[in-house]
Amino acid sequence: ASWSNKCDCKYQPCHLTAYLIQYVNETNMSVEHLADVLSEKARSSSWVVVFKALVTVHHLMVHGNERFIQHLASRSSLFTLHNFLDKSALEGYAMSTFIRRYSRYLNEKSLACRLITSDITKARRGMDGMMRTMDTKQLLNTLPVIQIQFDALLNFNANPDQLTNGIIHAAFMLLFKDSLRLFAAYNEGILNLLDKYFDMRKSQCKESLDICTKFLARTTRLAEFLKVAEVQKSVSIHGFSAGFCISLVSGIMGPPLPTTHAHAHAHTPKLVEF
Amino acid sequence: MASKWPGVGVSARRGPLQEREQLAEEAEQTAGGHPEPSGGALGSLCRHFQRRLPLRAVSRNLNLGAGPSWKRLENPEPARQGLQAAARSAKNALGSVSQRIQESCQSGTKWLVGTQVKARKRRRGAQTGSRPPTHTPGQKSPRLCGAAPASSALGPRERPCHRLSGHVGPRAHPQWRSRREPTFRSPYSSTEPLCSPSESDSDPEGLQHLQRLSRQLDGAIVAEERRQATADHELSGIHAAPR
Repeated sequence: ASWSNKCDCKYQPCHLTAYLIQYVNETNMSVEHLADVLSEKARSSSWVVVFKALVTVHHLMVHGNERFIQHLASRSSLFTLHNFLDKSALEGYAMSTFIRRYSRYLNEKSLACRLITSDITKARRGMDGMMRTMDTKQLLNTLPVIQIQFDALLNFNANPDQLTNGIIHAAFMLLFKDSLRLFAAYNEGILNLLDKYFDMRKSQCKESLDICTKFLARTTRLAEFLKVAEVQKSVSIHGFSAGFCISLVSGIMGPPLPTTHAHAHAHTPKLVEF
Repeated sequence: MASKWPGVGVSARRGPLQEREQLAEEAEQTAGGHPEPSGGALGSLCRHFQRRLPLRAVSRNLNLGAGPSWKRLENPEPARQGLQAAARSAKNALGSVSQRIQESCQSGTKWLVGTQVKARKRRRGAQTGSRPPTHTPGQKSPRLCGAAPASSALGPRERPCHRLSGHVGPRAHPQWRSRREPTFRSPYSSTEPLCSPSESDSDPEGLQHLQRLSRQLDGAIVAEERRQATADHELSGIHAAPR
C-alpha cells in the first residue's frame, strides 16, 4: 500500500494497522521485515510520513501481536529522531518537536519492555497482578524503569491548541491509552512498595522513599495531562471520567485543580474513531 | 495478558541499582561507628573524606626533636589550611543538603508513617500472637534525616551549628535547629509510636486516594478494552467482506 504524505484531518490509523495486524497474525512473514519497513519510513524527511510511521508502530505495539513489540525490544536501537526537523512546511517546525518527543517515548517503551521482559501496559492488574505480587527487590528495579517511561510519555506535553491535525491527535490518543495502563501499573507498584516499606532494610527504605517522592511529583503531571484529554473530549470511555481522576490525583497533592469547563465549551471537540 | 520474554536481555539499569545497594551495604559494614548520612551525594562525600584523612601510626624513626612538637591549633600550617577549608566547605554542603533531605523526608514520612499503623493492624489481625514490629520510625530518623552523625565525628572544635546557619541563612536557622534537635535524641529513648492512638485508627488520605484511583483506572481500562475489542471485530468484518 502506498504511504501517503498528506496530512489528512480524517487520518485513521486503525484501517492501515488492521491490515498490518492481520499480516503479522495470519502470515508467516517475519515481523522483522515489517519493523524494517516502518523504520525505513521513519527515516523520511517529511514530517507527515515520519509521524504516520511512528503512530503505526505505536498502534502495533498496543494492539498488535506480542511478537512485534518483542522484536522491537530486542533491537539495540529503534528510532534516531532526536535531531529531526522538517523545515519544508509551515507546520513542520511544530510537528518536528512532537516527533522528537514521540520517538523518544517509543524508544523508552521498547527499552522498558526489554528491561522488564514484558509489556507492563499489558500486565495483569489487581491483587494477584504483576505489580502487586512483586518482591521488594523486583519492585526497586522495576519502578524506576516505569517512572522513566512515564516521564517520556508526559514529556510529549501537547496543549489542546497544538492538536491541530489527525496525525498528532492519533498519537495523543495512543499516549492517553498508554498513560492509563502505565500509571495503573505504577500506582499498584507504589501501593505494594508502601505495604512492604517497614519490613525493608535501611538501604531499601532510602530507595523506596526516593521512588515514592518521584511518584508524587508524577501524579501532578498526570493531572495536567488528563486535563488536556478532558478538554479534547475525545476520550469517551464508559464509566471513566478524566475529571474524576484529576480530582483524585490532585487530592493526593493538595487542593483540587481548577475546572476546565469554560475552555471545554469554547473548543470544538475532534472525535477520532479507533 | 503479557508474558515474560526469555532471552530478551538482562536489565542494564539493574546493574547500577544493584551496585549501589552493594556499595551501601559494604559501607555499612566497614563504617562501624560512623553511620553514613542519607543520600547518595552525602554518602559519597563522607566516603571521600574518610579516604582523604586516613589515620596512620607514627613511625618510630621520625626525628621529633627534644621538646614537645605540639603547635598552636589556632594557626595551622599553610599546607593544612587548604584541607581544613575543604572540610569546612564539605560540612556546609552536607548541612544544606541534609536540610533539604530532611524537608523532603518529613513530607514523605508523614504520609508513610500512617501506613505502618495499618500494616501493624493487618498483621495483628492475620496472626494469632502479636509480635513487635521489626522497625520503628524513630530508628530511621537519624539515617533518613541528617548529616548529624557525620558532622559530630569531626571533633568538638568544629561547630557545624554556627557554620551551617551562616551558610543557610539566619531565617532558616531557627527552623533548622528545631528540625535537627529530634535527630540528636536517642531513637531508643521512647518506645511510643510516632502517631498518637487516635491517628492510628484511620488510614492516611493519600493511601485511600491511591487505592480508589487504582480501582477507577482498572475499571476504565477494562471498559476501554471491551470497546476496542468490539471495534476490532467490526473492522475485521468490514475487511473480510467480499468485494
